Amino acid sequence: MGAERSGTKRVVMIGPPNVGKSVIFNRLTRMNVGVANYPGSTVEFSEGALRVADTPVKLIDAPGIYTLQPASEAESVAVALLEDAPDLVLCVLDATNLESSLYLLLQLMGLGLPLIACINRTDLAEERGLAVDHEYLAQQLGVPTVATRAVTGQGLEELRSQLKGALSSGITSPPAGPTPTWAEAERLTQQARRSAGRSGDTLRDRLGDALVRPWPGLPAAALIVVLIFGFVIGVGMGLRRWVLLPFFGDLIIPQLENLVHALLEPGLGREVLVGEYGLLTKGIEWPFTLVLPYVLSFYAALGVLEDSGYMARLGALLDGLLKRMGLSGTAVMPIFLGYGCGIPALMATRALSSHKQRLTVCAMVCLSVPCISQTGAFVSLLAERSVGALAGVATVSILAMLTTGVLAGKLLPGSPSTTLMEIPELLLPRADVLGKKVWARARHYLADGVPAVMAGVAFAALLYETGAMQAVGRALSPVITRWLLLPEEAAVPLLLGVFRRELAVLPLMDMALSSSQLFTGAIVALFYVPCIAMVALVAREFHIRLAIVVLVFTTAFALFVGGLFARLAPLVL
Amino acid sequence: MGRHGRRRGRFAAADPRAHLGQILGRGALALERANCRWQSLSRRYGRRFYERLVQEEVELADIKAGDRVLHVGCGAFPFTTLALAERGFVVVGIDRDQQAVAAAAEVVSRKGLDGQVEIRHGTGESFDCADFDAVWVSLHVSPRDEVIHNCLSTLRPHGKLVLRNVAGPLKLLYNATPPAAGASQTYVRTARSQARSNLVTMVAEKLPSTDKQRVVLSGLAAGCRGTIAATGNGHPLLEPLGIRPGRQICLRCIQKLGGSVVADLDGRRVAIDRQLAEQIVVNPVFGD
Repeated sequence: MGAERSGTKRVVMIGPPNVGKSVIFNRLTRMNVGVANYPGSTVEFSEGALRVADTPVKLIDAPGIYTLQPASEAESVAVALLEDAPDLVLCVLDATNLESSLYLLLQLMGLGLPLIACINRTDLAEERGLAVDHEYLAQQLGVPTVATRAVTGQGLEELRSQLKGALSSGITSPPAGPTPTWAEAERLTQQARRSAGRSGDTLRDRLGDALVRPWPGLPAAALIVVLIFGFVIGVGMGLRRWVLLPFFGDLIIPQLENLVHALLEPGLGREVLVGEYGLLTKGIEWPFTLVLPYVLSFYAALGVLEDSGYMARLGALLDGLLKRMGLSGTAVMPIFLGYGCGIPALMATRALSSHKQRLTVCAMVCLSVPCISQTGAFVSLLAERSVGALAGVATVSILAMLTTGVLAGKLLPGSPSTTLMEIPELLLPRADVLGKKVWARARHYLADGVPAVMAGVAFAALLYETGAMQAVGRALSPVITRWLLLPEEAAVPLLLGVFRRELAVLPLMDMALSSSQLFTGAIVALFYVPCIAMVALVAREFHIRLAIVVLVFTTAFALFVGGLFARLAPLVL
Repeated sequence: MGRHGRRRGRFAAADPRAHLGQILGRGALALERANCRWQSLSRRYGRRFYERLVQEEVELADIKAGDRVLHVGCGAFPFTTLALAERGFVVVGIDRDQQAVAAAAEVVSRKGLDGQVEIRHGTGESFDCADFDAVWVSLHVSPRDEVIHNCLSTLRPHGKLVLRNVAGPLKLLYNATPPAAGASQTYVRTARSQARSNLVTMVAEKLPSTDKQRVVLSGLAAGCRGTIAATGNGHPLLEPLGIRPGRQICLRCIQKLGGSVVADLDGRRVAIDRQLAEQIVVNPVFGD
C-alpha cells in the first residue's frame, strides 16, 4: 500500500454504514472499479480510479465505521487505511444522523490528515423536515464541506471541484478542532440544523416499519424468501432456455466439435477435447448453460435485498432464532452469501464480532449450504424429473443448516453474541449500482469459476480416457453400490466434487438413474466436501486442523446420510 | 528501546513533538511493563506522554480541580499520579507491591507533592472507593474484572471510573461480570486516545440509583417513548447509535423468540439485543 506511482494521490472515503458512500464512489469513478483486500486481511473494499484535473487519483471506499474505535475486523481495516497516511480523507456525513457523523468528523480532525467533508442524504433529511447548513459547519470547523444528494447526483460537481482544490493546492490539515465528545457533537448539530417545513410519515416509512415488526414482518419475510427462491430459479431457467442454451448449445459447441473432428485423428487428444468429459463440450456446457444463469439471477436478487435495506430487517426478525445458534442478526448476510458462494460468505464473517459466531457460520456453510453453482446443478438435475425430489433436497438442506447452527451454538466455547445494528431506510435499489454489482460477480465467476470447472473436467477426461476412473470406481464400488445403491460410475462425482461442488452433481445427469437414485446422489453431493478453494480459505482464515476436520467430517457424513436416504427415498419418491 | 512494529503506519500529527512522542510512547509502555528496568530513560520520556494522555482522560471524565482521585496500580514511577496532582487533584496512589509503594513515595516527596499526594499499599479489588470522585485504573492491573467490579460497587453516585484499554475490536468493559448491583447503573463513554493511538480510554460514571421501580427498555410497550437514564455494559456501538443518557427513545416492537428490540432514536432505527435492552434504564414519558 505504501509505494505508489509518484503523482497518484490516494483518497480514502470514510463514513458510517448506509450513508451512500458507494453511490458517491460509483458516481465519481464510473466504470473504473475493482475490489481490493487490505494486506493481511480478507476484508474487501472497493478501489477506483479517476482523474481530477490531470492528477490520477486512487479513490478507496473504506468499510463503514461509526467511530474510530473499531467494533469488528471490517472497521479495523477502515482505521488501518487511515493510518497509511492517505493524501486526503473524504468524510461522508449523514444528514439524517448528523450527530454521530459529526462525532466521527471531530475524531478525524484530531488525526491531522487533510480533510474535506460532504453531507449526504439531504433528500431524506428534507422528508423529515430537516435541513443542514453546511456552510455554517464549514465555517465553524474549518473543513471544506459540500452538501450532496448522491442518488440524484446533486452536489457532485461541487464535490469534484473541492477534491480538485484540495489535491492540487496541497491542502493542509484542518486546525485542531474541539475534543471529540458527544456533547460537542450534539451542540454543533443543534446549531447547524434548520427546519425545512413539511415532515410526516411517507409510505416508504410505513412499509419499512411494517416489514420489521413481527406482524406483518414474519409472514412477509416468508413470502419474500419464497419469491426470491422463485425468482432465482425462474429467471435462471429462463436465461438458460432462451439465451444461454441456444447460444452455447446450438451454436458454439457444435462448431467446436466439428472443428476438432476435422483437425484431430481419433485418439486421446480428441477424446479429451470432445469426448465423454470433453473440455470443449461439457467443459463449456456445464459452466455456461447450467451454472451461469443462476449466478446472474442469484446475485441480482441478493443485490436487491442488500441495497433495499431489507437484509437488515430480515436479520432483526430472525434474531431470536439466530440467538439459539449463538448468532446475531448480522449473521444473516454471510449465510445468504453462502447460497451464492462460500468464499465471500467466509470473508463476510469477518464483520461478525466473535470467533464463535464465525466458526458457527463456517460450519453451516461448509456442511449444508449449497453454493449457487451446486444449486443450479441440482435444479438442472432434478427439476424436470421430480420436483418433489428438488423440494426434498431444499428441505434437508435447511433443516441441516439449522441443526448445525444450533449444535455449534451449544457446543462451541464462547459467550453468546450481541445484536446491535442499525436498520437502514427502506430504499429502492438503483439499477445502475445493482447492474455493476451483478457484473462484478459475473466477471469474478467467469475469471475464477469457469477455468476451475474446465480444469476439473479436463482432469476427469484424462482419468476417464486413461481408464484410471474406472479403476477408482471399482475400488470404491462396495460403498457406492452396496451402501448408496448407485451404479459404479457414480464414483466420478465423488472424485470431481473436490474441485467444484457442481461437479459432484452434474455427472449424475447422464447416468440413467431413477428419481430416488438422483435424490440420493444429490444428498451426498449436498453434504460432501466444499470445493478445494473453500477448504484452502478455511485453512487460511482459521486453522489447517479445522480444514482437515471439515474434509473428513463432510465426506463421512455425506456417505452415511446418503445411504440412509437411499433406503428411505424409494418409499416416498 | 523497544518498538512495536505491528502497526502499519502512523498518523501525520500536526505537532512534531507529539509525533515523536507517539513513536517513543510505544517503547515507554513496553518499558513500564518490564518493571522499569531502564529507570532513568523511562522516567524522562515517559512523563511527556503521560501528561497529554492524562489531560485527555481528565477531559473525558469531566472532573474539577480539587476533586479526590484514586489511582490503582500507580507503580514505582507514578507518572499518572503526578500528572493528576499537577492538575490540582488530590491523589491517593495504591499498589500491591511494597517496594513500588516505597519507591513511589520517595518520588512524590522529591517533587514536593507530599501535601497533595499520598501513596499507600493496597489492592484494587479490596480498596474502598467511597471517598473519591474518580478512580484511575492502570493498564496492567489485575485481576481486572474483580477490580472493576469492586470500584463500581464502592464508588459513590456520579463517581467515575477511568480505564485504559489497548485498542482493538470490541473490547467490552466487563463481559465476565454479570449485571449485578451497580453494573446496570452506569453510563460508559469511550474515546480513542490522540496521544497514544494504541489506547482507548473508557470512563464509566456511576449513576444514582432511584427508589422508584426501574423501567428497562425491554419492559416498555410498543409505541412508548422515554428518556434514557443508564446504558449498561459499555458496548462500543451504543453511543454512536444514539443510546446515551438524556436521549429520547421510542420502542417500536419486540421480536419473537427472545429476539431483539427495535427502537427509534432521533430518526434512527436500531435493533438492540434483548440482553442489552434489559440493561437500558428508561424514564417513560407520557403523552405526545
